[in-house]
Amino acid sequence: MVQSYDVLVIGGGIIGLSCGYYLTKQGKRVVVLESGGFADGASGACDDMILFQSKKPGINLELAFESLELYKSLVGELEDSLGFANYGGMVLIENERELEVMEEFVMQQRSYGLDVEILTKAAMRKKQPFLHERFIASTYSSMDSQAYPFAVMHRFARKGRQMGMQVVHKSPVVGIQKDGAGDFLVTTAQNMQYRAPHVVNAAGAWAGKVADLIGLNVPMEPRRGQIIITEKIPAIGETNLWSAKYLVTKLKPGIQIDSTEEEKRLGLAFALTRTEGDSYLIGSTREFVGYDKRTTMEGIRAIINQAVSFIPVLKDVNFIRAIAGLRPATPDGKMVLGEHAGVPGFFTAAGHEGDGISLAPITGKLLADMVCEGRSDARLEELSPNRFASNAKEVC
Amino acid sequence: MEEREVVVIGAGPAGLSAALEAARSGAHVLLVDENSKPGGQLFKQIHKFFGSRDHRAGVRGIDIGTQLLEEADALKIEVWLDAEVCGIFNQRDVWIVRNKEKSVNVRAQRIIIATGAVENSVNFPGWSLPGVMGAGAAQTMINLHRVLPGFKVLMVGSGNVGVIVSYQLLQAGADVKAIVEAAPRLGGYGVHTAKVRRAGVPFHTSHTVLEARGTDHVESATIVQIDDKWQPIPGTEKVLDVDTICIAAGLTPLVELAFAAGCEPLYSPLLGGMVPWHDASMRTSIPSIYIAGDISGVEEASTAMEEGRMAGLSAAHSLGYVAEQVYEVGFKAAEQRMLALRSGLFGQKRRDAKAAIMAQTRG
Repeated sequence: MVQSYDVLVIGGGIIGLSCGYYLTKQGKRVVVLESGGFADGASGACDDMILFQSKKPGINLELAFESLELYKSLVGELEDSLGFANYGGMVLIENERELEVMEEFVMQQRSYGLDVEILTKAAMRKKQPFLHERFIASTYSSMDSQAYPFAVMHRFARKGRQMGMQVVHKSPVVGIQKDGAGDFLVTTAQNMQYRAPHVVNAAGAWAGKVADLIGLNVPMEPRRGQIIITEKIPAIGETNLWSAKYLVTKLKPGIQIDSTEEEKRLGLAFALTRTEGDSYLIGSTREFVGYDKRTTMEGIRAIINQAVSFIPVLKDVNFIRAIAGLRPATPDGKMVLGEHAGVPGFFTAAGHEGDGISLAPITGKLLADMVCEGRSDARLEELSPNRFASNAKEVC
Repeated sequence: MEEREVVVIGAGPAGLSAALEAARSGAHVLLVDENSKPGGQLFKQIHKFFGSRDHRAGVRGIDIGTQLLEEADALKIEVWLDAEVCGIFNQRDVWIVRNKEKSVNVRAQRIIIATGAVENSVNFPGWSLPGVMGAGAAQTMINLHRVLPGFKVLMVGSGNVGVIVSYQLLQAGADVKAIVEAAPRLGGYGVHTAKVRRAGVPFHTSHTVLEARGTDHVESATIVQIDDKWQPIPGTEKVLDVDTICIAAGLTPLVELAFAAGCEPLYSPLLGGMVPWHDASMRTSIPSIYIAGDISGVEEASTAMEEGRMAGLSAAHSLGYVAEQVYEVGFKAAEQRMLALRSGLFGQKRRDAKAAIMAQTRG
C-alpha cells in the first residue's frame, strides 16, 4: 500500500524532527522515516551545547543567533523547558600563540555582534577555580547556552504528532524514485511505500547514501565523536569550557601547535558541559573511522587524561558512561541546506557535524520556508547542495 | 598489556563458582570484583538455602560464601578486589581500574560476566527521602555492617526478599509495621511468609505505598488499596508511623557491561527485563564471552552457582582444557541440577523463560 503525504522527511534525528515539526506547523502533511529508533544516531550521543564561540564569523554564526532566538520561543511553543540553560562559555588558552589567534578571532566575532571578551588569568580563575595553573587566559561569552537534545527531539515529535505529523521508526529507506506524475516514491526495508511531491534528506552521516539512491552527490563523511559522562557532582565552575587548541587548528590550520600522535589521530579536543542532571559531559574525539560508532578504550582514556590535565580535581570523579555518535562532516565544514537543482522537490538538510544541536531549530525553519514558499534566501546560497554538483561523484 | 586465559567479572556466587570450575579444569583464572570483599550478596544471606544436597540446601549463604572462598584459596585463584571493570573492547580486552588508581588492560581468551542484578525502585512522592531504601540495602546494613537502618519499617513487596528481609529486620530489633503487596496474592515462599506472619506482622495485599512524608527523613508513610486496574481507591488511605521504607520490588539484571561489549540483547519480562542472549553453555552471541547468575535472568543464588559452574566448565572446555567425554558428562550433570532447581510452582516459569531464551538461535 502506498501512503501519500506532502513531504517525506528521511531521518528522525534532531534535524529531521525539526524539519518535520516546522513543515507540519506550516500545514504540510509530513511523515518522518527513521531507520532506527528514537535518538538512535548522533543526536542521541552528543553533548548539549548551543555554542557561539566555536562558530566562524559568517553564515554559521548568523544562523546560530537566529537558532538561539528560536530555542527561546520553542520553550513556550513545545511546552517544555527543553533543558535550556545559559551558563555561558569559556575557551581556555594555554600559550601566547593561541592567545594571539583567539584575540583576532574574538575581534571578528564581536564585529558580528557576539558578546565575547578575553579574560585575564585572575578573572578566568575566579570563574573556574579548579583549572590547571598553566592556562594563561580565556575567552568568555555569556551567550553560550545549551539544550537537552533528548527533550528537544521528544517535544518536536510530540507537538508535531499533535498537529498530525507521523514519525515511523525502524524504517530504513532503500529506494527513492520519481513517478510519472512527478511525485517521489520512497520505499523502506519493510517494503512500505510513501509518496509525496517533496523529500527532505535529513539523514545526517547517512545523507550521502540517501542522496545516492536518486543519483545525487552529497559528500558526507561520518566523523566519530566520543564523549564521557561523569557521575553527579557539585558544580566545579561557572561556565561550560573548551580548549582553544581545537579552535586554533580549525581556524588557522597552518599554525604549529603541540599535539601528540594520539591526539592527532583521535582529533582530540576538550569540551566540558554541565547537564541539568548535575553530571558533566566531557569530550571529545573527532575521528574518521567509517560507520563504526563504538566507543574505544583509547578514545575514552585520551578524553579522561585530557580532562584531568585541564581540571585536576576530576581525577577523583567517576565517569559512568561513554557514548559515541557519527557527526556528519562535509568537505568544507559547512552544512548542506537547500533544494537540489538536478532533482526539483528533493532537499537536503544535513552535514552539521558538531553544530546539530545549535542549529537544529533554524535549519528546520529555513527548510520549511524553502519547501512551503519556494523561498531561497540569497545568503543561504553558500549552503546549497548544488555546490557539490560540479564535482559529482568525486568526493564521496 | 597483561594476559589471562579466563577473566571472571564479579565474585558473587555465580562468579566464584565459575572461577572455581574453570580453575579446577586447569585454566588460569583471574577473578575481579569492584568490592573490597568477595562473595557478593552471599555474606548477607544468613538464612538457609533450599534445594537438594547438591545445592548445599540447609546451609546458610554466609557459610557457602566462606566455603567458596576457601576453595578459591586452595586453588590459588588470582583475585583482584577493588577492581572496577570499565569496559570490554574487541571482544577480549578487559579494562580494569584497580584501587581507583591504576588502569590495567587485561587481554582475556575467555570472559565470564557475573555482575548480578540491581534492586528496582518504586517512585512515589517522598521516595528520595533518607529512610527509603532497597530491601537488599537494608539487609546489607543489618547483616554485614550491623547497623539498624531504622526502628519502624514499612516493607513494600511480599516476595522472598521482602519477607526474608522483614524477618531479619525483626531479628535485628526493628519493628516491621506492615508489608504491602500490590498484587492480590502474596509472592514469597510459604515457609518465609509464615515466619513473618507468626511474628505478628500485618500483610496488606492489593495495597501500595502512596507517599512518604517527613522533613529530612521519613516520618510517615501513606498506604492505599488499589483496584484490579492498579489504581488507588480513594478513601482507603492509611497513615503508618514509620521511619524506614524498604522496597522489595524485584531486581533488574546488570547487563551494561555485556551490552556495551556488544552481546546481543533479548527481552524476558519474567527474568527481569533485558538480558544477553545465551545458549545452554552460558555462551553469549560473542563466542569469547560467557555470562552466569542474575545477569542472565534474575533467579536465586543456587541457580547462579549452577550457571557459574556451567560457564566455567564450558569456557575451560572451549580452551581445550576438558576432554570431550568429561565435558559431556559435566554439562549434562549441570543441566540436570539446574532443571531440578527450576521445578515446582515457581521454578517452572523460570525454566520456560530460560528455555525460550536458548531456543532462539544466534550467530
